[in-house]
Amino acid sequence: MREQVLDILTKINPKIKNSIHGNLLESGLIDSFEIINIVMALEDCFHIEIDPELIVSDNFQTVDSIISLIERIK
Amino acid sequence: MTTNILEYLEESSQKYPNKKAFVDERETYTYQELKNYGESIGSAIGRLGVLRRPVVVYLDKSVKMIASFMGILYSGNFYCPIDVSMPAQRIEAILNILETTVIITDKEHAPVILEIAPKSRILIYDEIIQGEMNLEYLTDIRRKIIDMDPVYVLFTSGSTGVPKGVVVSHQSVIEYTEWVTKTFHITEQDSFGNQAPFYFDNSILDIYCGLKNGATVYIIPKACFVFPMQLLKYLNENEITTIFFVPSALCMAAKLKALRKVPLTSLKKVLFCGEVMPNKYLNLWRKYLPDALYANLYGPTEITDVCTYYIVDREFKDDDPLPIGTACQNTDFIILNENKEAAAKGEIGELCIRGRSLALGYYKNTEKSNEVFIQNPLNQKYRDLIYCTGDLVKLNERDEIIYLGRKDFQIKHMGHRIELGEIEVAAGGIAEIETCACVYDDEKQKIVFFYIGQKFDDEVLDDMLREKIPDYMIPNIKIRVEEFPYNANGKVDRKRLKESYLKM
Repeated sequence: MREQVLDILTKINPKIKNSIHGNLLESGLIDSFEIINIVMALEDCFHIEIDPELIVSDNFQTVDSIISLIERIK
Repeated sequence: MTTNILEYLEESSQKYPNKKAFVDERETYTYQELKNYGESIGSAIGRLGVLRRPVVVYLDKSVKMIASFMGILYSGNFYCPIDVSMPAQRIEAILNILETTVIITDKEHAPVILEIAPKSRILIYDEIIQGEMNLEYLTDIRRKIIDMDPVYVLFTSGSTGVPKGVVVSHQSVIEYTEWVTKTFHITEQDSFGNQAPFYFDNSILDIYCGLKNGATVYIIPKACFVFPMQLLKYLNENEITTIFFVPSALCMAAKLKALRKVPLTSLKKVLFCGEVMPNKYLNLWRKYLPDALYANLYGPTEITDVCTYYIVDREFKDDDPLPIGTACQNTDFIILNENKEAAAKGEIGELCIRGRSLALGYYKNTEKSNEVFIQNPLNQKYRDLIYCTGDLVKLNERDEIIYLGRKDFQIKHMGHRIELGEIEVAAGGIAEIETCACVYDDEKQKIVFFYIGQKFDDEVLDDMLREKIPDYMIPNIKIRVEEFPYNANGKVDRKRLKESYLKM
């Protein structure tokens, strides 16, 4: 799953590849409006629906927090 | 008769001295504070002895920027906000055009701007708001300023790679503000939720309708536009009644189903402008917030933000186009066909605008100004200036204007107006790239970049481009090719390039 998540993220911003342990939000790697593309790609890829209540900064801070979010939904 | 936008500030500060004027994440300025800071800043600039010159504001988006704008206007000059995340090369290009030396910034950003422009005279915000007021000087200056003098200069993308500074006068801002106030019944009871950056002309509505009416303008924190639930909660908590957003921001809340979760309790007017608003997402807004007024506004920076509007008054299917409506009051439009004649009803032509909202032209660029601000070809009897928007439109059976697309290589991407040529010039400057061309995938909203030359990793190319152009101009897709298709004139055939991309 990690590979798939990384694949989605790097397609949206290739720079993410270099900071897979860093904070995606504080570093500005995920910017305004990009969250839509990420959420939609994750929903497509893992056949899940991400409740808007879960689209908050805690769940998108790092690659790991995104993975744990998907695991919780699945 | 209002002849200077500072009269808005002065009237509101007299009527509502202690009311919140502007609110950001960190601080709030009341109307009285805003006026006092403005007068102090104006006096500080006045001591430098500059008049009717651009003054740059280089600060994070905040209430401080608004006070700086007011101060610059008090000093008889006009403002040019520069985004603090703009690449150094572009800032340098803008400063070269402005030939300006006075810059308002803070201690944090001063070193950056001094490195780019070492000869500039830096005014530190926190220091100048505490300086002495010279009211005599400000009164004296005020008599010299007329409503044809500029309020601001905002830069847009230029096809030759050089940005263009659009100069807009008091007269135009006043005309626009009065129209918005009247058309959308704005009063002191309204609260605005501001999304537009201050270097983008959509912010003119928020700033000046707020000031004129004594309303409160909330500068919405950036994080709200990453997380839609946060955005909707923010609107409710601050009892915001009116928003004027770029459609991407509205689509985000709709696409991520946040609208379904958070009922909006105070929002009454939803205005948008800056790019095409898909009915697919507007219909979701209308479903969840049925009683609000929705209006599609249209206009380039050169006519002061908006020149046509359509108040949504009927049902649309998801794939119907939303009209851009008709011209604002005391503004006139003509549609010119390729022969510069009035287009017949239903015929496609270029939208051209007449009225007081026309900008004064491009700063220090008479050539470009004369290309697009021209004598009305339908009137050769007296001076009658029109602005040619470069947008192709036609009238529908209800006489509403329908936007069809651009005449040239300019695109709208995430609300930003971009000349694909500017990206090509920036990329063409990279030694390893022999030739390049950009096309735009309207459907997926992606900038597609084709190049011939050494193979680059996407991120390496991005990094090199980021030194020259803003993030929003960085191509989303890069394709290396062996050769380009050319048309009969020997120019790169972008149409065929785009077709080849769509087939991939």
